[in-house]
Amino acid sequence: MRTGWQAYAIRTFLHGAFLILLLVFETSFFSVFPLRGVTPDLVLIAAISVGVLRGYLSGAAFGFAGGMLADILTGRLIGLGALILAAVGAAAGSLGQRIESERIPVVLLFNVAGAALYLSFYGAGAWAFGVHMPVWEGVAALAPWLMAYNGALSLLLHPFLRRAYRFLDAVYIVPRAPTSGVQGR
Amino acid sequence: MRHRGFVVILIVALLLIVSGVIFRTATYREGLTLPEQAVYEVVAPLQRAANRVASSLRSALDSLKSWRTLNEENARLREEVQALRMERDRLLEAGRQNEQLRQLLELVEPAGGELLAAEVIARSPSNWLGSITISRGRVHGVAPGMAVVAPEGAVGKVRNVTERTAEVVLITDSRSAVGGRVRDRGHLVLVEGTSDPTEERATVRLLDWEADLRVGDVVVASELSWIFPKGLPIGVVEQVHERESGLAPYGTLRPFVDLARLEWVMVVLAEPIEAPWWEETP
Repeated sequence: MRTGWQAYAIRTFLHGAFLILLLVFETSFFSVFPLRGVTPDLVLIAAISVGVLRGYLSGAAFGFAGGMLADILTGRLIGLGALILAAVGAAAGSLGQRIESERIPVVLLFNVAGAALYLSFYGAGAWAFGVHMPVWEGVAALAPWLMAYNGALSLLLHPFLRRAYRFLDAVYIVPRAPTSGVQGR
Repeated sequence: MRHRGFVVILIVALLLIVSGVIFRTATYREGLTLPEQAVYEVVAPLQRAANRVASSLRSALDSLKSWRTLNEENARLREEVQALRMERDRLLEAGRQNEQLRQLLELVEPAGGELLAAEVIARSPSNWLGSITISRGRVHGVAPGMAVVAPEGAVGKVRNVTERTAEVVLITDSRSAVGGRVRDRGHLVLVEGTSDPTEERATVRLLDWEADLRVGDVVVASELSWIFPKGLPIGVVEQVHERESGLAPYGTLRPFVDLARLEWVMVVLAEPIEAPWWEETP
């Protein structure tokens, strides 16, 4: 059992490795199995789950880091996805503190709504920064399939993350900030 | 209180910095920064491994699906091979004659060069943009601006390269525009990517207001294309839209290459020429 900075370092490293793994699966595995041309956004699912399980600060930090990595791999509008994912992760964490967010229908609802919000804000943000694309047509074409794909995969990823955090909590004890939301479920 | 003020300042500063980065990367940039190259290089081997597993899985699933129709498909393919052999012989003869005539007229060979095979290892994480990552980069002689093709036709253009990977913008991406020609009737067209990411389609616009576009028209790269070799097949017109007042007619083009299922592509290792404005990647 570890505490203090060692535990923080190990947790940060594990989160980083997990993020890279998610992106690799998203860009190279699930891209081979698109749903009507749409690939799932695993980082978005994970950011929502981290927010729900660990609180809004963790959700925002995870969303920002994951979004930034995804943006770098996209090569365009670097930072836009990071800001939106940070906001979605924080919102999931904040809502998760107020309602019974561990129930499967709630997790599903968070992911379906998160996918729609993410797409809308990304399209609008891209348009605001001068990238001309028909935002609403794009959202209308992408949203139903991303909501369905992300919703389905959240049913696998969320329980996995919950177990992973239980394990981490048991092995690595880290003093938590009082703002870090619903923890140790 | 002081702590809260510090956090607010920190968040505002972060937002300003990130907004600056978004603004800087919203338009076309020359090359990649070092952190970007590092990320690409680190994830590339993992992406290659994941992609191979996924491709094998899909092949297995496809085999299962096609098990019932295998005999019929075999017979159809045999007939097709026979027809293609005859077509190949005819084309070889035509090519030989063409070469002789070229030499007689002292024409310069259109843009084309050595082909380098590359594996598709990843796709863009953004559903909004259509780009792929291939397993060849600077050390293999790949440079921004080079054409990427498949046996069936045009795929896209190299946008960025790292040491061992390259990002290719697909012809269906909203950043893409290619000079083309209707093969049978010679009308010049511009093939533009669309922003509907769920459809692997492009928009084809006639440059001549008087000309017409028909469903089934085959579009090939024209002499206006500085990226693709002239005559390279691009796609077939699937739908023609009503002529709007004052605008040239336009249509929807289905690329010959199945861009959603690409596994291998070829990079044309010709010296990239600075693209004209209509083929610039924004």
